Amino acid sequence: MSEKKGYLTNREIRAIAKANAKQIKRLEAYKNRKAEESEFLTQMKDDSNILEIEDLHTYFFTEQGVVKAVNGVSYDVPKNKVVGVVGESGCGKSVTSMSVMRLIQGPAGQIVEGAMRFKAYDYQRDAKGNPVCDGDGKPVMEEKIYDIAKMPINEIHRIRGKQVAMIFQEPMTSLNPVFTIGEQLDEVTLLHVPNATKQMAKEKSEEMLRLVGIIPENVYSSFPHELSGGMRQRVMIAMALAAEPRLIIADEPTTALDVTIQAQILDLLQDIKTKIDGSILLITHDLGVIAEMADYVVVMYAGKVIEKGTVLEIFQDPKHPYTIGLQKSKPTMTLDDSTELYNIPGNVPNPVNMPQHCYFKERCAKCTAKCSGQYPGMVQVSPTHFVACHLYDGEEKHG
Amino acid sequence: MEEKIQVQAQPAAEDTPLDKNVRMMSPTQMLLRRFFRSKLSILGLVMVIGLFVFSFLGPVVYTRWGETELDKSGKTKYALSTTEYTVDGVTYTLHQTTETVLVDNFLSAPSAEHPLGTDDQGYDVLARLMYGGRTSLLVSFMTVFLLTIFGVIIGGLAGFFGGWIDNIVMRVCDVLICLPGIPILLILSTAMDGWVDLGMMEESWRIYLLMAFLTLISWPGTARLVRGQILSLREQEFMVAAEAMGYSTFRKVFKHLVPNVMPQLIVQMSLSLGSMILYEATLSYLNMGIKAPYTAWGSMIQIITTNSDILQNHLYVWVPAGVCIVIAVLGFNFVGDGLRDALDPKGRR
Amino acid sequence: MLKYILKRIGYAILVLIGVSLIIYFLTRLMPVDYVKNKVVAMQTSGSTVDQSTVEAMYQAYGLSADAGAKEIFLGYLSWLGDLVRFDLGESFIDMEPVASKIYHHMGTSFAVALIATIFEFMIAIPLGITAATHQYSLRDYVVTVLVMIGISLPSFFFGNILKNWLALELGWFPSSGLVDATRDSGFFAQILDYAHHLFIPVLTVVILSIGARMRMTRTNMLEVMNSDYIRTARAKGLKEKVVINKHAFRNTMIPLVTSMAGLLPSLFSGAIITEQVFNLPGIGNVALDAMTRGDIPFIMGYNMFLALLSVLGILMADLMYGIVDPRVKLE
Repeated sequence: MSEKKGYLTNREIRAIAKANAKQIKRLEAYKNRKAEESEFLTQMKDDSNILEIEDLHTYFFTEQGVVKAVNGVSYDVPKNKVVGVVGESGCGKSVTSMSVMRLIQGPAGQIVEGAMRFKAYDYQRDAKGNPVCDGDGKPVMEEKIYDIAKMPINEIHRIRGKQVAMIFQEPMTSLNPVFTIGEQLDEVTLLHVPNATKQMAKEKSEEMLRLVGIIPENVYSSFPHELSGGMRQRVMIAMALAAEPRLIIADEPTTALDVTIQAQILDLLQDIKTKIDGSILLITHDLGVIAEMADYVVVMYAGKVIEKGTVLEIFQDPKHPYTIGLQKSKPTMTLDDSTELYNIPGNVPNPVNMPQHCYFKERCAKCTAKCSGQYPGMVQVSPTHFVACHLYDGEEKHG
Repeated sequence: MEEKIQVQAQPAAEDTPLDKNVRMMSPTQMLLRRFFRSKLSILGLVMVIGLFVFSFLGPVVYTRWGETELDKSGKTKYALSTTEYTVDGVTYTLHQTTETVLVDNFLSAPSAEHPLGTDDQGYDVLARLMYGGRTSLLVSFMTVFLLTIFGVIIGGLAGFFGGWIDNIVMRVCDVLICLPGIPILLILSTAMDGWVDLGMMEESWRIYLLMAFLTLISWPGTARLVRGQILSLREQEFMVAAEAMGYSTFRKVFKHLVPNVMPQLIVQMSLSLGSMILYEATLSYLNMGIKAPYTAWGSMIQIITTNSDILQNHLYVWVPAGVCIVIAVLGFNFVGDGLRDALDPKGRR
Repeated sequence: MLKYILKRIGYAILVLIGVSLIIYFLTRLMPVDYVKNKVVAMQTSGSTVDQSTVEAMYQAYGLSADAGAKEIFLGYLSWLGDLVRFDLGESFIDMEPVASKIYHHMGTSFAVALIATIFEFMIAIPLGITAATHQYSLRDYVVTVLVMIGISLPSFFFGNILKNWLALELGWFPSSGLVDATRDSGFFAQILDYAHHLFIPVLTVVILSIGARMRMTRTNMLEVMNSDYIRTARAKGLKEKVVINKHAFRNTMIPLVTSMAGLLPSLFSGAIITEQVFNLPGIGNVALDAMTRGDIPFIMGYNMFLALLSVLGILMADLMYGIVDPRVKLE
């Protein structure tokens, strides 16, 4: 076949397939291995954090090449805070959160390297892995730091649901159509609360439904298809809250809903934020949502974190040209008719075959000669504010 | 986990924008790659091509025996009979061997002369197998071709114009789908027997009528598929766009709708090839399909229904034909399944 | 709901009328003239047959000597009229009323089909599910190949192979028929005798039909496993076993249970080829005999019976869908 521009040659396709098969085999074996608990226990770098993601790489081994959807992402989620992750679609923000839940669809999608340290409150376990009980037969709880990336997949149920819960983007399809809302909610309590009875589970579910603003009697024995999208998302939130997790990941919880419902769901999340004893990782492409909800903001671009800081720093003093562009492209009421809304030129890069230099280079108005060199490292511009851009090289301000 | 992942393909030139720096697979490459990824598709393709070569080129190479050429070398048949009779109180037993010399060399075991032996008439099994393959493959290909054309035109009309045309077509489809297939074909075959007896048709027409009848009872499946596809495609934005561009109906149907139906149609066609072979073979097996002196794979198995000696002791007469049918149907199904995986955009790994 | 069912039944009757029209005209195309055959048979056996007897016989069988389109159409109407009175006529071959003949031979066919269907579902569903949950693994390939072989084997060939091998070569099972002439008269002995005779036919049917069912289960399961609610179930912390056996399984069962309901009527229709190969006195074999001998009333009755069963199957599958899938409301 002739080597047309823009197309891979057959030889390259075969080479990609071969290399992919090798990597997938290795990573799948690592994922499905049996491991002692000690293998995935670790220590937090900063004890005030509940989740520390460090240099996470999640790749998709496709026929076209390796898609580095998450390419060296690091950020922390402090205890009882809301961390917002923003970025265009395809920048890897959802993949990061899915990695934390270990819900990346194999065999193509794999966590390749990095660490995800999570502070769990879990059963004390004996040498065989069974929960240790005290004199009254109640399991003993203790704080444990797991490295989620190192956990074998058959141990992951220690984290999922109980420690970290997730609210998904698509409320319409995320509930099982053949079970009633009640059955699906009860399941969470029955699964995670030791010795829970059906009656207990039902009471807990009804309490959760009330918490998310639903009258339980109306909904408990309904099937998902009988509910509207907003209602279903409330149920999803109730389900996430039912096991009282330490971290809730909300992956674009309002994207699939219409605007008035979006506001209701956000109010609900806002409300819940104060009521629960846990952190929220909020993933969205909507800056307004972030401004309203988040304490800390992480800005992602093409699989990398380009800027992170407190919500005030990001909104009042954005450093990275991309973040600045994002701020400028947000419509405001004060904008007068003569000024056109700013848009960032160019398109989001396709994360296969990324170059060595800054991924934002060609779309960047402030590009310098230095930008064609190495990918910029993280520069700390304030105790909490970090940016990955050559413009700020040498402006390091430590603590 | 420490091992770094290498990017396999070379990145594009320095100056290409990052959203375009990816070299993709061309659609053809993608299709071929997905098709050939499964070993079974390759196997299927080999089986189908093998049978074609065997049936269509085989007789060119293997010219020793023709399709309707009897082996007249003769066969000597020995029969042993024992008679007892009593003369003057003494019982005598007479063993008698009768030697019969027959004109046709029938049911001869595989030998250098006949690699697969001869059948009960004295035809060479290998040659019959090749010619039978021609018939079977031809019937299935022609039928699938006809029923696809028929189904696409009728289903397309129903789907595109809707209204009363659609209504009538779908009602007819409902009725035809409820018709029991094999019994109906059996009735038609018996009818053909009668027409041949009455001199209303030639025996050689039977194969064409069979194709016609198979088409007539099988087109509703394709018509429904095409109609369903067109109904859902018609609602999509690109058809609204085509409408807005003021394209002619002809252009809309054949340039915009038909190519979108093609993937499913191709899959359906390759799977139908297998089922048509089965249909034809079943009819021939019941002696209601292709009849002597012409042959098909199913007809070659038919003799075991009348002669259980052949079923048990002359496997070479009927087993090869059955194996050919299995290979053909299996091959078409493997290819069809491979195509389905290759053409279905949702089925990506 | 009731209105829906009545509407569907009304439509089914229309379809059946269409089907009967086609079948009647096709049947009348058959030139096998039963009366002529019978007259010849009577003459060869020595009795003299005069023209008036022949006429009377034609009259009795509802066939006129040289029927034009009009006569055929009238014949159809009279057949339809009898049908409304639940009279399917009498078989030409043995003068038994068609309905009772169908009824008498239905049992054997039903027994074979029922046992085979039970085994088919019991084997196909677990295999299909493991293939889907272990996609691209060795067992997926094995199941896929089994599926393909099941779909591709011609019943007459495979049936004869089994018959030749298990019955004629090894002699483990009888090669044909349903009962042994020398069987014991006890109840259990009788049952055992039936089982002995039906083993190979049932095995044939199971192996041939299992492929399609496995494929259906696998495809469905794959689709379900890729859905969002399975991701939710995993995110809840459920173990993979529970995710598969509870959340995925219930959804996979919807089309399977539906197809089971659709199969129910076809259990009575008989497998022509299998019954022919093993010479079982089932309805398919009887129908085959009728078709080769031009027994018009029986052919008509049998084909209408088949069409009725398939219409019923479609109807039952639809109704079942409304029962097992909470999303579907029948209106």
